[in-house]
Amino acid sequence: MKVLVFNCGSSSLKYRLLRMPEEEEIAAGEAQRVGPKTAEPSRIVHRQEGRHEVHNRELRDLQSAFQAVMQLLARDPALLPDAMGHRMVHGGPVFGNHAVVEAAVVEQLEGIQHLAPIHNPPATSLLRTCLRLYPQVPQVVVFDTAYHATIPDYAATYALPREVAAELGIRKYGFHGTSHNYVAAEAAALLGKPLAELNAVSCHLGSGGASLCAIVRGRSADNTMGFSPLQGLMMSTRSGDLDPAIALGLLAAHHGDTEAVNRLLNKSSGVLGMSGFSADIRDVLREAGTASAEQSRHSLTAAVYTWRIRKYLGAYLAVVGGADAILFTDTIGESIPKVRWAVCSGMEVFRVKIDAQRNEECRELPADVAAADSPVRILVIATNEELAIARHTYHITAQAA
Amino acid sequence: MNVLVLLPSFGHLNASLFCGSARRPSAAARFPWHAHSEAAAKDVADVVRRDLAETWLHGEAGVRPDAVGVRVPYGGRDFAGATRLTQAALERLRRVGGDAPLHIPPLVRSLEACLSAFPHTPVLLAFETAFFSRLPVQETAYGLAPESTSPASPSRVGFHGLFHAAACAHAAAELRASGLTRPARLLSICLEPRPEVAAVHGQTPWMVTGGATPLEGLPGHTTCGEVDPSVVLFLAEHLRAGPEQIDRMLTRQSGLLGLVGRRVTLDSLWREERPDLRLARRLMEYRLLLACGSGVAALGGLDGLVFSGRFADLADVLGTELCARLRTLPGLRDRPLPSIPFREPLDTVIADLVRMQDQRA
Repeated sequence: MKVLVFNCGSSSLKYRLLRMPEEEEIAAGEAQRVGPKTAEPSRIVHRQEGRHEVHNRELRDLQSAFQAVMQLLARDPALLPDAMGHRMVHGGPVFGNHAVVEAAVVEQLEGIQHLAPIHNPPATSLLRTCLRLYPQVPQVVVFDTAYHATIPDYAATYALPREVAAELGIRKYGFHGTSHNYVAAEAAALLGKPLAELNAVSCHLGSGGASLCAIVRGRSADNTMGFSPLQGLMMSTRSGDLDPAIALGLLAAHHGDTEAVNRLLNKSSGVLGMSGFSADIRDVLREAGTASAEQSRHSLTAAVYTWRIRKYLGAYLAVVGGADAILFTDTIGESIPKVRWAVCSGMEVFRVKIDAQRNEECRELPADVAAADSPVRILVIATNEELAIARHTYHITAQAA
Repeated sequence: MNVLVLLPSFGHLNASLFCGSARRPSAAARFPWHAHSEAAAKDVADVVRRDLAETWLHGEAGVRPDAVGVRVPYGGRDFAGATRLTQAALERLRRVGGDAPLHIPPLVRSLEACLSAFPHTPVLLAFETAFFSRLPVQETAYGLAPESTSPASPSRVGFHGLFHAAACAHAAAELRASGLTRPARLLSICLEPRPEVAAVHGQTPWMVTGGATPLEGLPGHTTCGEVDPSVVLFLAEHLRAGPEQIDRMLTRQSGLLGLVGRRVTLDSLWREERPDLRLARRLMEYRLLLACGSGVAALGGLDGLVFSGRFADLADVLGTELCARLRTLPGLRDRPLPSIPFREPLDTVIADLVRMQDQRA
């Protein structure tokens, strides 16, 4: 069975066509820097049979990115999928598990898309387009929130009037679950222990969204994102944690316009808002390193970005107790040594010792950038949400058949 | 010296009189007033001049203070320490009034009345936020574009600085007596109706759970604490509520009250064994653990915990629990990790501050 997986990030659309259950890649690629302005142009990086192609295109949004990808795949009939798997950020209170996509599911998703205003709408729109254009191809939606169903009630509850919270479904859901689950399993295998014995903190640091996950005995115990992906770390265009009074002040200043404030906090804040320069932390880190930027917004932006990760890392290491490993994954976590260093250095109190040279020279993944005598390992693992989604899609589709 | 300590709030003025070097007030009183409207300016002035100075101090207490200390909940980043009340200081305080429009204008009215009622007596402003003026900038900044808010770039300021500063000084002295020869790294846990955790190295704070307002951070008796910012907007949309209604919900109907469904204090949360308190208790313990873990990461180490505030006595049960959890961290497993209570009330803390300033002068 050929499974085509789509993974909408905040600013990217990853796709992979896999032969299942063999897990052999047929073709893959990524539409990069989709959406908000960055220092480099948007493009599709496509690979197939060892060939790499780069197609520079204007990719205004994920819909245009999807159409461009399908045009690329349509060049070869052998690339037509037997099933499609879709990553969906928020399942809300409706979807506690992954689901086969039907019109009714899309309608339910449209009813909750306000819960993840950056991801859900384009991903749901993509589902509707896929159903319309490919009605005979089974579609499965895989939710980021499913892995976090094990977060205990005292960690998932907000201190709000309980009747209001219960009626409106306001609780912490957590996100990036597919990725955290995947790298946890990979880490357990690397450490030679069963997943059910792994204690770790997983750091999914993407070019768009980012979150940490406390993993206790292989299960999610907490996640920095919450009711929505807005909570937690400062991200590319999201503010992250914010005094509720500031959100109230913004609401008052915008005369009660919740959509405007939502847009402000989700699309105009974070690294882009603080730096005034780019939504991509890589661009900001490059500028922050120059002497002229010492007192500039770039330095402050970079400092806030890494400081918040560090504080949450400490919080979750305390939750986990004796951690086996810290896991770094996704675009920034995998490829930016400066961030790993800023987060992990000086953390000997947690028995975390990062090796400067290993960290700097880390190229081939998976890698261990901890010092040899560090009791807690620091693993850099390429996330593979597409493979995880393909597995779920294959199993669910095979069962349905 | 005789020190008069004033703790103004919206509905009343608390006054405590400390004679000589006494650690406890020789007299205390509470004066109702209406400080929160422009029309109430005369009421405030009358309370301070007539009820406090003439009737109580000179009449009932029969003592003339040598100095006055006034608690000021907010000074922004403009006031980095205790400050003598002068017209110039009042003018500086008026300028930060936009940051805290509910608190500063009524406070300024009460301070103007103090200047008038005590024209020859030094009045010291004890800012709760002063201790946190030294927070590193990466801790104070929010992930917002500067132009998106007014005032531009709100920052985290912390709100129980007086307790944290005094408690950390006390704990550091105890640790020195136990043999610590370098500046102490402490988690300062202020247990007030709006609790707050700070991570302090020596006399420098590195982290605090309180935010631009006391609403951020740990849940309180009626305050929500940290919550996904999108929840604020979600509530506005789905309850069709305006900012004032949402504010009322988050500040007066949430926290322990919201979780349990009845009024609960931090003390009863940990002293009473009742099933309906279980979730709230575990939630608070968990949030405290998260804050402590963040604090340890901010400090790069830990020498002890210190508890302050009106519920400081919870150090016995809460300190034990937190230290046990923190000792599961490999780097803290084999080290002493004392949990130190600091039981002085706020008026004593301010009286001590006034005496210290007087000695320096």
